[in-house]
Formats: sequence, structure tokens, C-alpha cells
Amino acid sequence: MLKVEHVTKKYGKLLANDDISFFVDEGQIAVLVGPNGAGKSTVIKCIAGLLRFDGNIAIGGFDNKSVDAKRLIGYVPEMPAVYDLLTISEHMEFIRRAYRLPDDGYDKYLLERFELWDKKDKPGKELSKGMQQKLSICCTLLHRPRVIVFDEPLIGLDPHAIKELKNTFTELKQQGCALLISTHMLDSVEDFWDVAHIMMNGRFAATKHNTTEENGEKSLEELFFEITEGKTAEVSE
Amino acid sequence: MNGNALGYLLHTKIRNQLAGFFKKPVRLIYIVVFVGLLVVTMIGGKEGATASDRVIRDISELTAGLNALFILIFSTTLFGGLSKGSSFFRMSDVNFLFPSPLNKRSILFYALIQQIWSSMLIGIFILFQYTMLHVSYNLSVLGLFLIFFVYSLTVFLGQTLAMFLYTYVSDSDKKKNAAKTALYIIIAGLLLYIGLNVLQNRTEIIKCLAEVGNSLPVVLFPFAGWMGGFAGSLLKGEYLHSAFWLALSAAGFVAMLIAMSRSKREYYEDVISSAETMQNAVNSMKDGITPEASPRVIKVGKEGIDKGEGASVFFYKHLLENRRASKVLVKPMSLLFMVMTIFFAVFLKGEGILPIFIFSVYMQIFSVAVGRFNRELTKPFIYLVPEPPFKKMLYALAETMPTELIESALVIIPVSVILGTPAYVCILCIIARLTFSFLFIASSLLIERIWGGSLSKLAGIFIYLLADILLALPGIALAISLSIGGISLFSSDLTVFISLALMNIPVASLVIYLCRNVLQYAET
Repeated sequence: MLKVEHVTKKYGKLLANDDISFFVDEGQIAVLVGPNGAGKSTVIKCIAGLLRFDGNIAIGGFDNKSVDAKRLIGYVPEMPAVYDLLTISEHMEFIRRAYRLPDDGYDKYLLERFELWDKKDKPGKELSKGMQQKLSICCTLLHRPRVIVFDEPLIGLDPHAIKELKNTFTELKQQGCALLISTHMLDSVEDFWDVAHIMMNGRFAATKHNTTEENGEKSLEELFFEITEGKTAEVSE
Repeated sequence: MNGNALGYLLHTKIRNQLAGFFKKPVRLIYIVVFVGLLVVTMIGGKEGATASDRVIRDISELTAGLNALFILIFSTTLFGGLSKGSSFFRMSDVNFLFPSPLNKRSILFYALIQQIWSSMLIGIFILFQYTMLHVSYNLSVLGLFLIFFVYSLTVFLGQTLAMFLYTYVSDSDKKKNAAKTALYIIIAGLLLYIGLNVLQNRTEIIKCLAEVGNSLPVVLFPFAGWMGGFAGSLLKGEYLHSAFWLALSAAGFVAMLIAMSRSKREYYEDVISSAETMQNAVNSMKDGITPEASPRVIKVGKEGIDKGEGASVFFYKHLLENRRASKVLVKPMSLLFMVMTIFFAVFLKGEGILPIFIFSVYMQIFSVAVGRFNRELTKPFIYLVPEPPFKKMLYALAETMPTELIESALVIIPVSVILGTPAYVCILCIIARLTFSFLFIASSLLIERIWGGSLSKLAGIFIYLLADILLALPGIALAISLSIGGISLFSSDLTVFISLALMNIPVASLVIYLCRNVLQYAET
């Protein structure tokens, strides 16, 4: 569903992503973990079509910059970017109109689920960072994307929203969506990840699958610290 | 020990800032370019002063204008401070210094020293007014720097007074409103006084404004009037008077400091929220998001975008945002520029509409830069919406047309009335100004196409100005060619406006078309 092939991204002389390749299948949750500056957000932004890069990225078989790919992808940025002057419900209306979606009440369902319905008349400027993040998630999910990339989605959320988002991850997986989640918080993804890519210096230092065979080896956390703290790593791929 | 810690902090900050120029040579280049532009302005001023038909205007006009400028900036600073709290403190000061055992008074003095530098940065624009001031009022370089320093000091005093007053009124809305009302009454009284005087001397408005602007009721305006009195007296060579106004300002400042440092009222709590607001703005800028210049409390009014499907929804969303952003028809920044342009027109009445037009276009460079389209580029939605990039771009630009048309009309019509310009010249002037909106947007797009968001803020502004000049060159070249060739289309002013409009539209259209795929990426 999501295919990343030989993606390289440079900011001036800085090599942020160095020849990265991976894929995420339908109904699979992939996580990107790594220390600050490892290049996680860069690859996420490349997938979302926000950055220029060398290599290929396909979403549902379409080039990620094409209109067809944009219909399939959803992107939750690390910094929630909402419009100061639009209310919560107007954000949903904006997405509904921009994506030419039917008014089927799904916006209300999402806002209720993330406890924003009672604040639907509040403008973006008056929302806390956590509320902006919840609104950003609702906006992303509204057009029912098939491939969803989340950049540090749990930061700033309250416990209820964290629980709801984790449940949402599981539901989206069951519905056959491909999910890519970038995070620092290893324990936040331990319940549902299928494949984890540990990034260091713009490259994948290791890839681990959440299968019974591989689970007999080191835990994701052990492998992460072994790699990031400079010890020898066992790379499973 | 206290002094040592804070002294170390100040000294290290300055040292690191200076070291930054050498670590990042591009900053050094900006300084060189800045100084270069300043020198060009100075030379331009000297050249202009040699013109044989030069008429030196009455210095009282300048000093009255300075009083008005100082009162305006002082009142704006004070109102802002009384509404939201004013702070000299950064979030790092709040986090590190406030909980520390350092002396409260030392911390206050540290912040004051830090603030003087920031206040000076606000007044830099004054240095670029040399040509006009030297040619019109024979102002020396020393005089220009005097105005710059006094302006910076006035901003600083406004911030100090706002912080001082806020600690006394922040605990109650009633007190806040009372302080604001008192300031409103003083300003309304002044305006009434000026208005009545002008009404009695309608035949010589400028002379009357110059007299009233230097009169005692104006100069007695706390701090701003005193500082105006100081600068004005010094420029006129009245040294005893200037010493008096300086002493009065200094005494007022010292009294505020004593009251603040001896006060049992805790100012820490009052400055935290404004320090947080400032920090949020800084963080947003780092993320490439320009904070929206919107009212503090947004009046939502009628809800819903109501129209638009696909790319066209951006146009209707922008109209809705414009309605909420300002109570009047135009952006707050544009409103300020309009007032400045109209004010400029009153003083340059005899020079014709062309200098005013150039001034209004210069102001337009900055108002277009903070327009809806450029703001839209800082959010991911426009890149993610599944519509063809060119279509999205055209709809996201569509709002510019009515907005800029209204702004141009609101600037040019009053200017034309003041100057007595014929209606057809006024209409062509509005059209020519409108074409510059598209030219400046094309310039933003070109930069976005070539560099994406990878430029630093300062480099972005610099290249934007350069691109504006380059794109405007064909129109300017046509106007000059026609003038040299002795070809006049009805009148010299009309020739210029027609030339600009004729060239700006195809240049802007070509650049916009060449950048049609710019919305494929949001390179950040």
C-alpha cells in the first residue's frame, strides 16, 4: 500500500535520509523509532508529499505527488497546523468540501470521539496545543484515508485522547489501512506495532518484526538502546 | 554575586551574538548590505540636497510630525501592554531567573538593559528616511540619529510604563478599563484640540498642524510629548528647553523604577503570560508559521464556509477568514499603511500623485507578504488536498483580487481627493497598484519555487525585495523609455501608470504560470 524506494533527502550538506527503502502493507502498522535528528520526520514529510527528494514513493500504486495518491493519504503533522480564524466545525467543513465528501455525519462522530463536539464553535486560535492536535487528527481521518502517516501523534494529548487514538490505530488496521507512526515513546506503540524501523543518522539501523519468532529475541526497547547507545546491533533484515 | 550572574548572562549573550556573525557569515553579509543601503540613502540625500529647485520646509512641520509619531507609538505600546501585559522578560528569564535566589531588583535592571537593545531595533526604519528628511528639512546625519534614539527611547518608556501600570491594574478588569479609558480621554482631548484648531484655520492646514503639533498641550503628553519636546528643541537649537524635557522624562522614568522596585506588588505573575505569548510567537516563526494578526478575542458571528467544492473552497475560506481577522474591510497592517500614505499625501501635496503612489506601492510590498496566500503556504492542507496544483493555486490567489482592489481604492481615493487628481488618473492609479499585488505574489511564488522554505527569515525578506525589484523592472523600463522618447499618453502620470499596468500583468502572469506546480511540495 505504501512503498518507499531508495529515498534520499539532503538539506544543503546535511544528509537527512540516506537511501531509505521500506513498505507498509494493508492492515499493517509500521513504526519509525529513533533519537532526535535521526530523520524520522523528514521521511514522513517526503511520504506526505511535502518535500522534494530523490527516489520513489508510491501510495496505492500511485506516485505520491499525484492527485490519486493524495486521495488515499492522510498526514498528521508533529506541530498541529490549524487555522486561527476557523472554528472546529468549520475545519471539518473545509476538509469535507476540499475532498468533496458527503455530509454523512462522520465529522460529528470523530469530534465526539475525541471530545471536541462540545467545543465545535471555538476558533482554532483559542484551542490548546492538545486540542489542536486532536483537531488535526480528526481532519486527517475525515476523508477515510487508506494510508496514514502520523508524526509523533501522541505528544500533547490527554490520557483519554491517547486511549482513543490507540483504539483508532487498531480499528484502522482492522479496516485494512496501512499506518506509519513516528514516535519517541517506545512504550506507546508496544501493544500494536507489526514492524519497527529503528533510525539513526538518516538510515535504518535495524528493522524488527513483531512475530513470535522474533519476539523470542531482544525486545524492541532493548534493541533500540543497544543501537542508539552505540553497542553492536543485530539487524534482522 | 547577583550582579556577577546577571552580568555574565548579558555579557555571554552579546558575545555569542557577535560570534554568530562569524560562525554564519551570511549574517555578516546582511549587516554589510544593511550598512550599504544606509550609505546609499545618505548619498541620495546629499545628492537631492544639491537640486537647484529645492525648497527647505519649516522645521516646525518635522518636530510636529515627530511629536505625533512618538505619541502614536507610545500609545500603541501602552494600549497593547495594558490589554495583554507587557514584558521585558523572555521565557528563559522566567524559567531560570524568577525561581532563582537572585535579587528581584537586579533582575529588573537586567531586563531593562536587555530591552533597550530590542527597542532600538524597532526604530531602524527611521534611518532610511534620511533622503526625504534631508532634502525637505535640511536634517543632518546627527539629527537623524537623534530622532532614531529618541524614538527608541519612547518605545522603551512606553513598555516600561505599560509594565508598571499593568502590575497595578492586572488584578481587576475594572482597573484595566479605567486605565485605558483615561488614556482614551487624553488622546480624544488632544485630537479635539487639534481638530478645532484646524477647523479655525482651514486655509493653511499644514501651517496650522505644525503650530498645534508643537503646542504645549501636545508636548505635555506624558513621556511621548516630553521626548518629542526634547528632540524638537534640540533640532531647533533650543538647548535649555531640550534639557528641561529630558530632565522631566528622566525624572518620570526614575520615579517609575523606584516605585516598581519598592512595590510590594509581585510583577512576576503579570509578565509570565506575555512572555509565554512571545515565546509561542517565536516558536511559530521557527516552524515557518507567521502568527495571524487577528483580534485577541475572535468574534465568530455567522458560522460556516457554505460554498466551494475541491480547490474553490480555499477562496471561500479566505473570505471567511478575512471577515473574522479585522472589524474593518482591510488587514490591520494595511490600515496602518493607508493612514501613513494619506498622512504623507497631506505633506507632499505639491509633488503630484506619483511620489505618493510609489510610497503606497513600497508599503504594499509588506502587506502582500503577510496576505492570505502566503499564510496558506505555511499549512499542509493546500499541498494535501487532492486537486490539480495550478487549480489550487488560482483559487488560493483569487481572494487577493477583491482584497487588494478594496485596499487600493481606500488608499488612492482619499489621496486623489487631497491632491485634487482627476477621476480617470485615480482609477488608473488604482489599477496600476492592483497589478503590483500580483507582481509581489508572483515574486513570493518564484522564491517558493526556487528555494522552497529552506531560506532563513532574513534571507527570505532580502530575496523577496530583490525579486520584487527585478519583476517590476520591465514596467519601470517602459515608463522611462516612453518618457525619454517624449511619448506621453495623455499626461506624464498616466504614462507611468499605463506602462506599469501593461508590463506588470504579463510579467506576473508568466511567473505564476511557470510556478504552476509549486503546490506539489511544501519544502520546509
